[in-house]
Amino acid sequence: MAIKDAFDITQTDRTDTLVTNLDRWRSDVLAHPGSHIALLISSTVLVAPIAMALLLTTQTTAQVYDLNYVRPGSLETMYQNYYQVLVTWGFWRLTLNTLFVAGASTLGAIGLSLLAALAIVFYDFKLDRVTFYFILLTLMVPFVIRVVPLYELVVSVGWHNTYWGLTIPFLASATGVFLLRQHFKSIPVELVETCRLDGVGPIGFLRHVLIPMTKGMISGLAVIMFIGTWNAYFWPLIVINTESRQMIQVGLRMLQSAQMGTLTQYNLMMAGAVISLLPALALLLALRKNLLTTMGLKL
Amino acid sequence: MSSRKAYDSTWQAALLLLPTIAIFVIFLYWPALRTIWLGFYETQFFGQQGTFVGLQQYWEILMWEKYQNSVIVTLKFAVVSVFGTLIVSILLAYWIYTVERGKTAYMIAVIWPYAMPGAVAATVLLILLHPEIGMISAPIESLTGMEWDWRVHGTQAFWLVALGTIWFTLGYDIIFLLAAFHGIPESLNETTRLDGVPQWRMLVSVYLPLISPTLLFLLVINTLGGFFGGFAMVDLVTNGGPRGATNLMIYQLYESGFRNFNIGEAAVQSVYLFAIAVVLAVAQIVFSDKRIHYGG
Repeated sequence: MAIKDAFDITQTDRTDTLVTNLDRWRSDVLAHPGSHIALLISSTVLVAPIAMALLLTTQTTAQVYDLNYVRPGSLETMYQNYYQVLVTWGFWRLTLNTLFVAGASTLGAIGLSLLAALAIVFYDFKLDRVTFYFILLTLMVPFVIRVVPLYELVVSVGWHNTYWGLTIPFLASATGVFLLRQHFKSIPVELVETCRLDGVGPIGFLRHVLIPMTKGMISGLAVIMFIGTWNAYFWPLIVINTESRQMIQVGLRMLQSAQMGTLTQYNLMMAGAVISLLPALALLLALRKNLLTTMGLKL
Repeated sequence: MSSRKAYDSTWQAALLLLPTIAIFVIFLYWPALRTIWLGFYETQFFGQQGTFVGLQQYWEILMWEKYQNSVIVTLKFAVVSVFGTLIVSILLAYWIYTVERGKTAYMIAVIWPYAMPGAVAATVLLILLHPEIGMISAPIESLTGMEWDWRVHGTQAFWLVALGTIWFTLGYDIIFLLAAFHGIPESLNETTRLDGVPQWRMLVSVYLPLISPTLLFLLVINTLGGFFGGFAMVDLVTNGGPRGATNLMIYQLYESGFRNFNIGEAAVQSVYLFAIAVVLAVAQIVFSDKRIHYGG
C-alpha cells in the first residue's frame, strides 16, 4: 500500500522515464481505482467554487445576472473588474494594510516565541515547568472568553482603530513556544556543551546556532501565523472603524454595498474575494514543505 | 536536569520570558477572568460603570428565548461541522494514503483550503448559491425539485453555513491525519494487512484505532473551533436569519456586545460559550481516554 518514499513532494527521480512513469500510474490506478476516482471527484468539488469565482470575475454585472451566460466574459472586463476593486474600492490599500499587520505580527510572534523557548529549554531555573504549562494552558482559553474585556482594554489605552490594537495582544504564541521547544529539545546535548565551553552567550547561541538549525520550522510557523492574521475577520471588524485602515477580509463586507443602478455588483465582490485569497494561498503553496513538516508530516 | 541547561542566570531567563508572559497575563488571562466579573454588571452604554446585579443577568440570559434558540442552533452547528469536517478529512486523507502515484498533487488539491479565509468562503458561496443569480442554485433546484432560497428557508441557510465552514476548515484536519496515517509503521502495516479485506474495513478496524490519539486531538480542536467558527459565514451571508436559524452564539454575542454595546450581556454570553465548549472538549478527552487505552 503506502510506501513512504512515494510521498514524492521532494522526490526527483530522474531515472524514471515517461513510459515507466505511465506504467506505474496505470498499475496504481488499477490497484486502487476507488481511491483515485474519489480523490479526483473530491478535489474537483473543493476547487470548483474558486474556478467559478474566477470565471465570474471575467464577466460584467449584467452577464452575472444573466443565468444563461455561463462562459467567460472578456479579458478587458476582467481587467476593469480588478481595477475597480483595487483602485475605486481601495483594495490596494487594504492589501498593503493587511500585509503590514500580518507581517509585523508574524515577525513579532516568532521573535518572542524564540526568546521564550530559549529560556525554557536552555536555562536552569526553578520555574521552567510551571512557566511552560502556564503558556500551554492559554490554548484552552479561546478568544471568545476574553473578547469583551480585551476590547475595553484596547479602547482604554487608545489602541482602538490602530494597528497596535490588532497586533500587540496577539504577539505571544503558545503554538510557537510549544513547537520551538520540541525542536530545541532535539538539538544534541554535545553541541550545547561545546557552545557553553566556548563561552558563547545566550543571544549568540540563539543567532548563530538555534535559528540556523530551526529555519525550516520557523518558516512553517511563519506560514501558520501569517495565514491566521491575514484571514482574521472578527477582531479587525470591531477594532478598526476607518475604512482606509481596515483589513482586507472586512473589506469584503464593504464590497457588499457595490451597486450599479439596482444591481449588486457580484462580479466585483468575486474579484475582491480572489484578491483576499491570493496572498495566503500563494504563501501556502510556496512554503508547503515547511508548513507540512512543522505540522508533523514527515516528507 | 540534563546538560542542555547551558545557562543558569535566573534573571536572564525571566527577561527572555517577560514579553510572552506579560502579553498572556495582560491580554489573555486577565480579560478572561474579567469577563466573568463583567457578567455581574448590567450596562446600558459602552464604557459606563454599570450596576451590580450579581447572578441575575446570567439567569436572565438563560431564560431569554432568543438565546435559547441560539444555543440549540449552535449545538447543531457544532455537531455537523465537527463531525462533518472530521469524517470528510478522514476519507480524503485515507484515500491519499492508499494510492502511490499522484500523492503530492492530490494532497495540494485537498489541503489548500487551509489558506482560505472564512470571509472569502462566505463571499464565494453567497454568490454561487444565491437564490436568484447563483450558478449552482439552478442545478440544485432542478435536481431536487425544491425551492432553493436560504433567505426564506432556515434549514437551507443552516446547511449553507455549515457546509461553507466545513469547506474552509478541512485542510487543517487533513494535514494532521496525513501525518498520522503516514506515521503508521510499515512493519505493523504488513502484519495486519489481510488479503481480500475491503479497504473500508481496513480503515475502520485497523487504521482508525491506530491513529486514535490524532483523532482525539482533532475532535477537541474542532470542538473548540466549532463554537467560534462560522462567524464570517453568518455575518456576510445570513445575518443570523432567517428567523434565527443561523443565529450562532458567537453571532448573538457580537450583536449584543458590538452592535448594541451591551457589555454585561455579551460577557455573560462569553462565559456560556466558553463553558459549553470546554465542558464538551474535556468530556471528549475523559471519555476517549478510556477507549484509547482499552480499545487500542
